[in-house]
Amino acid sequence: MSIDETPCSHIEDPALLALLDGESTAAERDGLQDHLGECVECTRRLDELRFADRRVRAGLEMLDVPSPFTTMPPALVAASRGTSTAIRTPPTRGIRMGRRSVAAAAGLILVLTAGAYAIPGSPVRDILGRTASAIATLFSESTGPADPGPSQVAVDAVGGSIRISIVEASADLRIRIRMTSALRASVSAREAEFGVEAGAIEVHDPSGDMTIALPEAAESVVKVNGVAVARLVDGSLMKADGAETSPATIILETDG
Amino acid sequence: MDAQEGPERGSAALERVGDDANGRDVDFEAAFFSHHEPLFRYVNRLVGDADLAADVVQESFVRLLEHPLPDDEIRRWLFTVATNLVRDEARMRSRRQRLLAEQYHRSDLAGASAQVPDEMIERSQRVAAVRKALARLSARDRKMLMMREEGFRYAEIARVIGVAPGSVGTLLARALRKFSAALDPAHIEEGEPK
Repeated sequence: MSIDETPCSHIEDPALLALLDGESTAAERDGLQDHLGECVECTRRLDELRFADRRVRAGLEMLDVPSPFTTMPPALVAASRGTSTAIRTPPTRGIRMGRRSVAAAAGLILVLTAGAYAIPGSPVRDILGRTASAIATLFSESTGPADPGPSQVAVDAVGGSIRISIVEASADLRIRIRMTSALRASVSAREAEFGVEAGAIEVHDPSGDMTIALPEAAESVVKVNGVAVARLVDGSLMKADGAETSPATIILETDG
Repeated sequence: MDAQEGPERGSAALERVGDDANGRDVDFEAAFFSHHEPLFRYVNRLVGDADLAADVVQESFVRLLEHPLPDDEIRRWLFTVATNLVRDEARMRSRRQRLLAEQYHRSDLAGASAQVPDEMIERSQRVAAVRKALARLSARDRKMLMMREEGFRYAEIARVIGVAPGSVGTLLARALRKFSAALDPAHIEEGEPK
């Protein structure tokens, strides 16, 4: 980068800024410093740029809000599974159902606007989406305080596909999977934490019996610990290769 | 998830992740935690909508999964993708303007509401003033300034924004002075730049 100098030999802003930003070469820096040591005008303008820099930084910092990503979003967790660094943390943008909060959530209906899915024309909606708006309904079939019963999470997908991911499945887990004529995919389980976002349900650490209903109209995949155990394609529900080696028992049922 | 891709194709794409073009492991988790915060800050500053910024960030990382890269290229690549996502979303601008208008409206109303703490009103007004000052810059200059704030080198800024490397210093210096002048309290009170 050359030292830009005006006809009267003063240093121009780009060179002064490059000096501030550490973009000058050692030779340029030496030349600039020599000049600044003798030129009051350029020193004044360098100070102006420093002041502008501080003001701009302070101004931009006014716009900052905390990042919502204290953990990886469930879509990324699920998508990255199979890599060497599977994430085991629950999602932030989905719905987390703590075990003790299942009963308290009875009747709670959450409509997930799911960020850009609800924003007409947003990039995510255009790129990821084409699943239109996603609505997740979370409710508990509580039978009383003593037995909160299974909790159920459901996700609508208008077109597109559904992904069900079961994380940290134990050996005593039995997963019953069936097709449904409904447009909504649902997962019912006891003692589990759920993450929900558009077209995807993530179930953490379930045990016992779990029921999954997959809409006939959607293409779906069910994964256990990152391995596909069942797929629904073109209206046909079938086990995937991973079903045989899965720690969970996979049972396909006909929709009754 | 791309609805035009079935789960089969989607899964196949995702299973590629884990190796870069040279077969090396890609630590996606490390990449996420290294880059999500500055990327979110950058996008949020650009669009003024935290929800939208979060979605752009998430989409950028989804794309990263599908495009394994060497570690030293990930940061610039993510910012490029996020910048393009923001740029390509024309309707987002009207949404941002509407949000800004609402913000001004809320600020106007805030004076009549004893329920809103003074500091919140003050902050809201300051944020609105910064947004207004930013609006005086071109989209290109805004992106360049914000990338500079994230510590990008001029050469990287040139690649992401698509300008000649030799022009970055000139454009940045001009944008810096213009934005600083627009942030001058005297100008903000007047509502017009000098």
